[in-house]
Amino acid sequence: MQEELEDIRQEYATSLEELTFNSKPIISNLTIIAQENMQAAEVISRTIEDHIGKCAPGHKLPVLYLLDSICKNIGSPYTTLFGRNLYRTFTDAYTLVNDAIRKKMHELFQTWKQPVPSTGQPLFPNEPLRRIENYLNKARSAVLEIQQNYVPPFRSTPPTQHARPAYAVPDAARGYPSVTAAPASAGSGYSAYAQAPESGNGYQGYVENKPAAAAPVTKASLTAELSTLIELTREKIQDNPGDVDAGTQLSALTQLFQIVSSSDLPQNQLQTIKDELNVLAEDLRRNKNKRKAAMAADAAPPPAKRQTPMWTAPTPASVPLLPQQQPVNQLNLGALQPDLLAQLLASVPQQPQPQQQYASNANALTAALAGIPGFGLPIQQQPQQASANDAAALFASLMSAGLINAPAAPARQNRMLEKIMGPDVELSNKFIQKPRPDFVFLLYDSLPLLCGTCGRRFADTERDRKIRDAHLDWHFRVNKRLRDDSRGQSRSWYLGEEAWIQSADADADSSKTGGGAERAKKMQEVSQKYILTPKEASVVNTPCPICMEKFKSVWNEKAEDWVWMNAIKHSNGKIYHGTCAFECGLL
Amino acid sequence: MDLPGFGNDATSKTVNTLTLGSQSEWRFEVALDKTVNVKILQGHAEIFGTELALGHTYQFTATKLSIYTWLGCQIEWEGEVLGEYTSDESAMPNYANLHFALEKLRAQAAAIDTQYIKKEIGAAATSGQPDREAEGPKVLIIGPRFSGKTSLAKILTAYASKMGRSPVAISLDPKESMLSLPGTISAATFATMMDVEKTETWSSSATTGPMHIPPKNPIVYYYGSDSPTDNIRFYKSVMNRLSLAVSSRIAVDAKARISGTIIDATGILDPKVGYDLIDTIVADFSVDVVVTVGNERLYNDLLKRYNARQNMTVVKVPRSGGVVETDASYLRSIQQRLFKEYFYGQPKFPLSAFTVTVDISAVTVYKRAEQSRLVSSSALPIGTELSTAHESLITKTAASAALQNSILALLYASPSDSEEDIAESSVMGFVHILDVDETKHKMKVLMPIKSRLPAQVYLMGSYHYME
Ligand SMILES: Nc1ncnc2c1ncn2[C@@H]1O[C@H](COP(=O)(O)OP(=O)(O)O)[C@@H](O)[C@H]1O
Ligand SMILES: [Mg+2]
Ligand SMILES: [Zn+2]
Ligand SMILES: [Zn+2]
Repeated sequence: MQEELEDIRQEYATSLEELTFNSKPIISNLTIIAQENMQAAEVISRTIEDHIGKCAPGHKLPVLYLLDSICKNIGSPYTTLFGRNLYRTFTDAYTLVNDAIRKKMHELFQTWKQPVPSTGQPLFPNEPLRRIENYLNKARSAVLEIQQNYVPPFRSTPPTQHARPAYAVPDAARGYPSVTAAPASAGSGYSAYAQAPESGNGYQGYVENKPAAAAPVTKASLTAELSTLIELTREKIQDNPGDVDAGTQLSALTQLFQIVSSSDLPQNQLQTIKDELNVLAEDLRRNKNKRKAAMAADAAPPPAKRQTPMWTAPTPASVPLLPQQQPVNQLNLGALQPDLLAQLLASVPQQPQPQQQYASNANALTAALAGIPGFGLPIQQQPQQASANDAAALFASLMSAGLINAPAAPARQNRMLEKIMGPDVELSNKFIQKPRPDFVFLLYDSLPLLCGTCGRRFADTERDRKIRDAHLDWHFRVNKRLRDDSRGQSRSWYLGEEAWIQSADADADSSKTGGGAERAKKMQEVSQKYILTPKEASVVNTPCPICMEKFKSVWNEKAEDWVWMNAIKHSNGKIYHGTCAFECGLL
Repeated sequence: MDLPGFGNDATSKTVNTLTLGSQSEWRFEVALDKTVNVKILQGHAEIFGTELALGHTYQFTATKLSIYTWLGCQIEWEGEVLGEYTSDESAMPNYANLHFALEKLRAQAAAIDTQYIKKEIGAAATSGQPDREAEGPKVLIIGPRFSGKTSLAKILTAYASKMGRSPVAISLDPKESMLSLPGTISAATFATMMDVEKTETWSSSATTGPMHIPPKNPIVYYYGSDSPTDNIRFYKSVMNRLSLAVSSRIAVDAKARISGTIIDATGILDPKVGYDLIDTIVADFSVDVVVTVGNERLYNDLLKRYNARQNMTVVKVPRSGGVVETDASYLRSIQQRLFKEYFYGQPKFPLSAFTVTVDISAVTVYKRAEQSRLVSSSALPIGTELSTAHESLITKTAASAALQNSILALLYASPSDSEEDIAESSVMGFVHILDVDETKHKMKVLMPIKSRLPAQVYLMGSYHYME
C-alpha cells in the first residue's frame, strides 16, 4: 500500500511538471487521476500543495486552477484536505507572483466564496476563507494608505490609466486571456471558474488598489525586470528602427544588466535602480500596448481563430516579470535617497511627448547610472558616449539592412529574411569576425512564441500558431502515453537505406507525424490489437514466434470474452505479438 | 577528499544560482558517474545553439558543456561538477554570423527550388515555371582535434532547424558518434530540436515508444574502429556509401536539399593522409563551403588548395576557449557509456534490452580485412594499387570465443549476399555478445529489442563492452 501511494505520488508529481500553462486537457486529466485515486487523496493533495510551493512563480496559477478544478469537480475529501493548508498555499503563492497573476488569484478566490450548488455552502471551510479574505484586505489597505499619503509625480498620466491594468496586456493568443478581453472561451484553457466575473468591469476596483509590494527588490528580481525591459526595448526598436534613443537605451540596459548581475549591490541601490527603471518601464509598456492596439487594428483576426488554441500560456517575454509599482517604490526611495529622487524627478518631463520622452528617459537612465555611487568602474570606463556609439552602430546596421525603409508592420519573419538578404551578409571572414548580435535578437524576435516544455520557438503567424498548437498537443499525447504505457521502451532498429532516403516526410514535423513519434503511434496501435483466446490446446501454448514468449489471456470488457492482447494473426497462419510483428516489419 | 560514506552530500544538495550577463557562457563539466541538474530561471539560454526551456530541470551526466546566453539569464544548478566557470569570451557571435551567412545561401536556394516552393507555398506559386532544383550550402568543418568542430556542427545544425530548416548533419568521426555508437559514421536530418541532455550523441535515435524530444533517424554505416587511418580504404568505402545515401535523400527531399549539409570531419590533418582525405570528402559530398576552426596554417593550406575552384568558399572561425581536451582513457569511458546507453538508456529514460541464446552456427560474422601497410598509393609499385582495389574489404570470421564481449553491428545484408554488397550495407542495429560457449555451441547475445536474433550479417569491429 505504502509503495503504491509512493508510486502515485511520484507519477502525479511528474505529471504536475507539465502543468506550466493554463491547459484544459492537462488540468482535466489530472483531475480525473485525482478522482480515480481517491484512496490517495491525502498524498495527491499534499503533492499539489508542495508543487504550488516549489514551482516557478509563473507556473503557480495553472496549478491553483488544478486545485480548484479538483475541489469543484470532486469535492470531498479534497475540499477538506486542501482546506487545511489553504491559507498558506494561497498566500505563499500570492506573495511571489506578479500583478497579473495576483489578479487572477483574486478572481479565483472570489469563486471559492460562492456557495456550491449542491451544498449551498462555500467550496472550502470558513476558517481558511476568512483568513485569506483578511489577508487580501490588508494587502489592499496597505497600498491605499501609501497612496493616500502620496501625490504621484506623474500628473501627466491620464487618470483613466489606473483603471486599466498598468502592465502590458498580453494578447489572448499569446498569453493569459487579457484582462479587458471577453471571458475566456470554454475551448481555451481551463475554465471551471468561468462563471466568475472575468470581464474588465468586474475587477477595475481591484486593479486600482494594488496590493503592497510584499517582496523587496532583489538582485534576481531586478535582473529579471531588466531582461524584460531589454526585450521590450528591442521590440520598440523593431517597431521604429529610426529610434536612436531606444538604441541608446538598449545598450544602457544591457550594461546595467551586466552590472547588476555581476556585482552585489546593496539593497537600497537595487531599489534605486528599480525605481529608475519604473519610469522607463511605463513608457515601454505603454509603447507595447499601443503597438498591440495598432496591430490589432491592422489585422484583427476573426474571433473564431482566437478560440482555437487549447492553451493560453504566457510567453516569458510578454508577461512582465515585475508589476509596476512606482508610487510605492518612489515613496520608499524618497525616504532613502532624497537627492537622487530630486534628480530623478527633474529628469522626468512634465508634459511627455512620446518621442521626446524616450530621449529624456534614456538620458535619465544614463545619468542615473553615472550618478549612482558604487557603479563607479564599469560606467566610468564606458562613458555615455560609448553606449551612444554602440546604439548608433546598431542603428547603422539596421539601416544598412534596409530595415528603416521597411513597411510599417511587416511580418517579423520577413524582416529576418530581409536582414539576411542584406548586402552586408556574406560568407566571408570579414562578416564572420565582427559580432552582430542584432541578427540573433531579430531571430528570436521573429520567433516570439515559446513552447514552455521544450523551448522550441514559433513565429507569431497564423500558420506557426497552428503548428505550435499541434506541437503542444503532441507533448500532451507523448506525456500521456509515457504515463499510460508501463511496458517500458527499448531501442529501435535504424532505418535501412531505402527507408531512410524516403523518410523525408516522417522526419519533417514530429508534432504531426515524426519519425519516432509516428513509429510510436503505430506501435501503440498494434499493441492494442487483440484476438480471442484460441480454444485449441496446441495453439494456446504456442509462443510468439519472434520473442518466444507465451501469450497471456485477459478478460476484455468490449469483447466480453477472454482475449490475447497485443496479438495478431498473420496471413501465414501464425500468431504474433502485434509489437513484435511490427518491429520485424511483418505488418 | 573523497571518503567513502562521507560523500559530497553537502555539495550535491546545495542549490546554486548564477546570473550570466549578456553574451557570456557558463562552462561546466560533469564526471562520468555524477549528475548535475540545471534549471534556467530567467532570461534566455542555449546549449550549442539549442534553446533551453525556462523552469525545466535538465539533467546532465558525463559531459562538458557550455550554456550560452545572448541577453543574460539566471541559472539554478545543483549537483557535483568537475569544474565550472563563467566566461564572456565566446566564439558564439562568430559562429552565429557564420550561420546567418549560410542561411542566406539557403534562402537563395529556397527562392528558386520549384519543388520546395510547391511544397511549402503551394503549386500555384510555381505555375508556368520550369522545374528547377537548388541546393543549400554543403559545409565541411575541418580543424585539429579538440578545436570544437563537433560543437560548431551542433550549433550550425541547431540554428538551422530553429529557423525551420531541415539540414543534413553528417558525422564522419568514428571515435565519436552521432545518434549511434562508436565506430560508425552517420547522417540524419535535424528538422526538430536536439536533445541537450544527450549532447554526446547529438540527440537520441528512435525507441519503441514516444520521447519528450523527437528522436532523429540516422542512416548508419559501420567502420569499426576509432581512426580512419586504421584502414583508410575501408573508411573511404563506407564514406562513399554514406555520401550516396545522402545525395539520394537530397534528391527527393526538397527541404533537406535547400537546407544543405553540415559535415563534422575527423581531426586528422597531416598533409599526407589528412589532406587526401579532405579531398575525398569534398568530392564525395560535393562540399562547397570549407570552414576551418582555429588553425591559421590549416586555413591557408586549404585556401590555397581550393580557392581556385569555382563555387567553393573557404572561411575560418576562431576556436572557442571553452573546448576541453580529453585523453584516451576519457574517450574509452565515454564510449563504454554510449554502449550502455544504446541498450539500457539513461536513468531518466531507461530502456529494456533482451538476452537470447542461439546456436553459434546461426550467426554469420564478418570483420574488416587487414589493410596493406602502405597507406599512400603513390608509394606502391605501379600496378599494385589495381590489385588491392580488387581485394575484398571484409572477411568472414568464425564465430568463436574471440567474440566474447564484443559489440557487433547488425547489417542490412543477408549471408547470401556478395562480400561487396555486404561491405556496403548500412547498419540496422547493434548486439552485444555476452557469452560464447564453444563446447555447447551456444552464444548468449544481448539485443536492443525483443525479437529473435535476426539471421543477417554481423560486422565485427574493435569494440568490446563489459557490463
Ligand atoms: N564553449 C565550450 N565550453 C565548454 N565545453 C565546450 C565548449 N565547446 C566545446 N566544449 C566541449 O569540449 C569537448 C571537445 O569539443 P568538440 O566540439 O567535440 O571538439 P572536436 O570535435 O574538435 O574534437 C566536448 O566535450 C565539448 O562538449
Ligand atoms: Mg568531434
Ligand atoms: Zn515543445
Ligand atoms: Zn512477441
